[in-house]
Amino acid sequence: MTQTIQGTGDPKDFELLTEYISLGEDVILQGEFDFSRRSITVNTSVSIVGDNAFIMNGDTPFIVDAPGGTVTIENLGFKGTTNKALDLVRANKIVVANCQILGVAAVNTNLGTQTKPLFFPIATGMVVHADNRIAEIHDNLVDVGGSANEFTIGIFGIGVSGASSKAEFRVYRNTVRNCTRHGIDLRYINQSAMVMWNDIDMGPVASQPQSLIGRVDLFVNGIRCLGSGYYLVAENRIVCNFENAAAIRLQGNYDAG
Amino acid sequence: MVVSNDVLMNPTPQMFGPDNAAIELRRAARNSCIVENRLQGQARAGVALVAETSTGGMLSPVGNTLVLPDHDGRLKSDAFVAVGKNVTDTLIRANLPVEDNGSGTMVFRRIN
Repeated sequence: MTQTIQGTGDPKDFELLTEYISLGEDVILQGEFDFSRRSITVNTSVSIVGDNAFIMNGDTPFIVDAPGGTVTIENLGFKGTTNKALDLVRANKIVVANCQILGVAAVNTNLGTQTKPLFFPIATGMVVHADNRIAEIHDNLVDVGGSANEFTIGIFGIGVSGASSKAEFRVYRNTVRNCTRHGIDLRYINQSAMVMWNDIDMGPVASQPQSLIGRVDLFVNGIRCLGSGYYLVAENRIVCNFENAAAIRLQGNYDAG
Repeated sequence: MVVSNDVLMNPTPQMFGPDNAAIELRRAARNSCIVENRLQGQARAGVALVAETSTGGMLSPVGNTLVLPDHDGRLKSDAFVAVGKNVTDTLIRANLPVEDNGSGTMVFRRIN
């Protein structure tokens, strides 16, 4: 059964939405939902569809961890987000379509190890893990923003080097704007990723801080594909304004890459 | 495979850093095909292949294929194709200048 929820900006909207999603009820959202730095974890098959709806002030407002499930997030707007708008960890099929992510505030993130931590502010529009069987990311507007002292990424697909994967990523017809690091960054998908018909303009700001030179890679790219996997990058439009960037970078960090 | 993308390199100020290229294959990028991409603006290189020393030793692009469109003057670059040192076995089909510092590079000119 599909439930329609009218957002009023009251924190109780969040609780109602959490309850319906935990029950696996499909929801249609209308109006504004104030997440007040909170997050909902989606553990089951569900469809979350907006009808002129905005998720406000969430801290990674939706985390999808629904092994074997099908999750659809469609037609939602995100404003005032911290960290990332969507963290898509696991599903048999995940669809994110026609969403708008408008500005994401960075949080300090460890780029190093536990024994040698190296914190730097990072913000991402959405993170798609290679543990998803099929990920369809299409027709979204991702405008992350950020300063030269922050790493920001539009769409970030991430797997583990050498891991077995059945992931099929289809990233198409997205509009990506204003990222200081990568517009679309796919790492170790290990299976197949199709990146087509996206419109990427990296904007005027890029991040290559002097303090990190020699400590981490500092590449700036419209589209980057790193590590093993079959990557098809076709018919995208990319504008790069930074003097030390590549519009498209293919990169192997290991001999088997 | 990287095919039929439209790339505009629009740097300001117009000084290129070492990682600047419209399309770059870096470290152990292997057996990729770069086909008929439309490049414009200004860049250090249109397509660059770059080997680099990492913690695992020298990582080099090997066995990549570039099929480039005829130069239409829309990209201003120091080298339209830059094949770096330690890059091996690159196959290039183009009528464009190739700066080749690699080994086993084969350049085939288009016959119009």
